[in-house]
Amino acid sequence: MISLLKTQLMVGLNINAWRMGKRRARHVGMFLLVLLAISPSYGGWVMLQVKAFEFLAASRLPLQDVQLAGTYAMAMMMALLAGVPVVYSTLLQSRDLSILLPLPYRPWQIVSAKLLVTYAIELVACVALCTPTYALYLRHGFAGPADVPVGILTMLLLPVLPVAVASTVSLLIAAIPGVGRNRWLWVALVLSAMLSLSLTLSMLSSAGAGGEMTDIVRVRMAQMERVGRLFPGAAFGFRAVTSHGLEAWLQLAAFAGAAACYAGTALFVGQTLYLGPILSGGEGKRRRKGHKAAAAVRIGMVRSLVNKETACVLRDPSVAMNSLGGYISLPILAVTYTVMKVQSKGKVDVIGQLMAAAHSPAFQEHLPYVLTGIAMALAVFGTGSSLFSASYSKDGKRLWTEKCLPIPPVTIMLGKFIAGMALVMPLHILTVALAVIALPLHGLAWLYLATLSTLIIAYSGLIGLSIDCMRPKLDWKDTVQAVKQNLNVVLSMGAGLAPLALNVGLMVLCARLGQPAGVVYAGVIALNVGMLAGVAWLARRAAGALDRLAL
Amino acid sequence: MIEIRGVRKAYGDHTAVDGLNLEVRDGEIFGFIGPNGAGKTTTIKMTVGLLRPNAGAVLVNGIDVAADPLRAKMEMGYVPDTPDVYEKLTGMQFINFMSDAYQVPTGVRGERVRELADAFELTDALGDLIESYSHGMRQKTVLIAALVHQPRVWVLDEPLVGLDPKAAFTLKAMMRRHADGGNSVFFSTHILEVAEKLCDRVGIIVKGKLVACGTLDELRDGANETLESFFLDLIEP
Ligand SMILES: Nc1ncnc2c1ncn2[C@@H]1O[C@H](COP(=O)(O)OP(=O)(O)O)[C@@H](O)[C@H]1O
Ligand SMILES: [Mg+2]
Repeated sequence: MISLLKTQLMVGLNINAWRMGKRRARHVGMFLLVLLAISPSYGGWVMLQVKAFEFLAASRLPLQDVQLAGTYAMAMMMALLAGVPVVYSTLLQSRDLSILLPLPYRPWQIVSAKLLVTYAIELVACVALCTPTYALYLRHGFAGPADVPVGILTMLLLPVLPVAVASTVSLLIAAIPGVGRNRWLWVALVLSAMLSLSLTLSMLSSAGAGGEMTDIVRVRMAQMERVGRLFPGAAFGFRAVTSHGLEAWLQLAAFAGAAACYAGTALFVGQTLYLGPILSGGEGKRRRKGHKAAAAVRIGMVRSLVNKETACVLRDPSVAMNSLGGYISLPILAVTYTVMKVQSKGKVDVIGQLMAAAHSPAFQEHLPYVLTGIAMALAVFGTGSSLFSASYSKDGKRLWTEKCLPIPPVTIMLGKFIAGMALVMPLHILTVALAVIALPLHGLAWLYLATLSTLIIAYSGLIGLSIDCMRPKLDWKDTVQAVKQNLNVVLSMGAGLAPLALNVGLMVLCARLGQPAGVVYAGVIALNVGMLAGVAWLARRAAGALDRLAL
Repeated sequence: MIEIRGVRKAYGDHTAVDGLNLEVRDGEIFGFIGPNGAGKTTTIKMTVGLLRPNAGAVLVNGIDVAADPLRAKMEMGYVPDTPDVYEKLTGMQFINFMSDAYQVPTGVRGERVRELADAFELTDALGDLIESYSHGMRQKTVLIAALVHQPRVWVLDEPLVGLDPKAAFTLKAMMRRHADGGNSVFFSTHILEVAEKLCDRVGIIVKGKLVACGTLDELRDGANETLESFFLDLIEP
C-alpha cells in the first residue's frame, strides 16, 4: 500500500522531474515562475486579511469569527472547484489502471491512493489560503497557544470534504450512460470550474478601501460562511477553530467524524462506479454505430484531404480547442467583462469606453487607420492558435500515410490550408459581423474589414503551415503535446508579426503624406494581396520539405 | 519488380544500411530477414519513399523512387511495421482517404473493400473510430487500405505481427496468389518458419549489409540444414 501511494504521488506530482539533474533546473524555473505569477494575488489576499483584522479591532466589531470561518469556507469552495480538473486527470484520464488492477491490491486501496494524491495537491492550496487568517486570528488574541493543535488539525481535515464531494460528483457524472465519458462534456466542465475559480479569486483578493471593509467582512465573509455550511458537517470545523478548550476538541472530533463519512462515501462511490464497470468488463464494450460503413464515392484528392483534416481536428477536443482557441476565449472574455463591470458597480467598463470612442468624431476622422487596426485585431482571433502552425505536428507518426501516398506535397499543404480556412471562416465571419453591427460603419467599410482580415488570416495560416512543414514536432504521446508544447506555434505568431508591421509602416507613411482615405484603403489591400501572393510562393517551396522529412 | 542499387542510409554517424543491392523479381515472394535493428525497416522505408537514401537508388517497376515519386508510389502498396493511423477517423473513412489518393474508381471501390474486409473479418468494425481498434484490427485496416488500389508491388514490413492466425493464413494465401499472378511481394519478417514456407527467395541482412541472398536451396547449398540453423550460423560466426 505504501509503495502504491508512493508511485501514485510520484506520478501525480511529477516528483521525478524534480530529482533528475537536467530537468530539475527547468522545473524549478517553472515553479518559481508560477510562484511569481500568483504572488501578487496572494499578497493582495494577505493584505486584505491584515486590513480586515485591523479594521475590526478599530471599529470594535466582533466579527473575527466570521472572518476566520469565511476564509475556511472559501478555501473549501476553491478546493471543490479546483478538485474537478484534478479528479478528472487523476481518476478519469489516467491510463495506469491496466497496470494497477492486476497487482495484489484491493480496489479500495487503488481508489484511495488516487484520492490521496488529489488531497495532497488541495491541501497545499488550503493551507496557503487559511494560514494568514489563522495567524492573524491568533495574533489578535482570539485563540491561545493551547488552541493551535486544534487549528492545525482542522486545517488538515479541511480539504477532505471538498475533495470527496468533487470526486463523488465527478464519478457520478462520468457514470451517466452515453454522455458521462464524453471528452467535450469534460472540457466544458473543467473550463467552467477553472473560470469560476479564477472569478472567485479575483473577487476576494481585490483589497478593498477602508470604507468597504464592513462590506467585505460583514457581507462577503458571512456569505462565504453560509456557503461553507452547504457542506453538511463543515460547521463543526468552523466552530472547532473559533472555540476553546474541551469544546474545541469536541467540535474537532465531530468534524473528523464528518470528514470520515465524506471520505467513506467517496471511496464507496469510487469502488463501485469507477472500478466496478472496469472489473466487470463493461468498459471494454465498444459502441456500435447503427449504420454500416460503405465505400464512398471517389472524390478529388484535395477534398479527401480536407475531409480527413477537419475530422482529425474536430474529433479531438484538445486539438479543436487549441485550433480555435482565439474564438473560445471570446465567451470567457465576455463573462469576465460582465463580472468586472458588475463588481466595480459600472466603474470598469471596457466595452463602454470602446463604444464611446467609436462614436467620437475622431473615429470617423481616422477611419481608414482605425479600420485597418480593427481588421488586424479581428484576424488575431483566427491566427492566434495552433490551427495552421501545428497542422503537420498533430499528425505525428501518422504522417507516413501522406508521405507514402502518391500525392504531391503541395497538394497535402493545400488540403491542410483549405481545411484550416474552412474551420476558421464561420467563426471569423461571426466576429466580423459582430464588429460591423457594433461599430458605426457606412458604405463598403464592412467589405474592407472582412476582406482585409481574411487576407491576413490566409497568409498568416500559410506562414504557420510552412514553418510546421519544415520542422514538425512528430514525437509525442498525446495530441495535447503536439498542439500545446509546440515551438512552431510561437514561431509562426512571431513571423506573422512582420506583415502586420509592414501594414503599420504603410499607414504611418500614408498619414505623413496626408493621403486621402481611398488611397489608404487601396494601398493596404494591395499590400496584403501582394503579401498573400508572396507567402503562397514561399509556402510552395516550403511544402517540399515533406519530401526530405525522415519518418 | 524492385531494384535496390547500392543503397546507403546513415542516421548521424551510425550507418543503418550500407551499400545494399538486391532485386525482387516479378512473380516472386521475397523474404527480407535479419535480427532486430539490422536495417530492414530502414530499407523498406527507402523503398516506399519515406526516407531518402544517402547514396544509391531504388527502382520500382523501372521507375526511380527519388526521381518520380508519385508514379513510383502508384505502383506500390505499403504496410508499415507499426500501424499508426488516424485514430479520429473511422476505418472506412481511412480506407476511403487512401483510395482517393490512389484514385480508385467509385465503381470498383465498394466491391474491393467488401472483399478484403470480409477476408480479414473487419466488415462490422469499419464504421467505428480507429481509436477503438485493437492492434491487429489497425493492422488489418492498413492492409486493406494499402491493397484497395491493387498495386503490382506489395511492400510489407513485418505484416504478420499482431494478426490473428486466421488473418495471417488469409494474408499468406493472398501473398502467394499475388506473386503467382506475376507480381512482386517484398516483406520483412523475423519468423523464420514463415520465410521458409512462404518465400521464393530470401535476403538476409545483418548490421546493414546483405550477407546472403537466394532461393532456400541455394542458401542451404545442398546441406540439409534448416533456415534457422543457417541463419544462426550467419549471425554468430
Ligand atoms: N530514426 C532513427 N534515428 C536513429 N537511428 C535509427 C532510426 N531508425 C532506426 N535507427 C537505427 O538503425 C538501425 C536499423 O533499424 P531498423 O531498420 O528499424 O531495423 P529492423 O527493422 O531491421 O529491426 C538500428 O540500429 C536502429 O537503432
Ligand atoms: Mg523493423
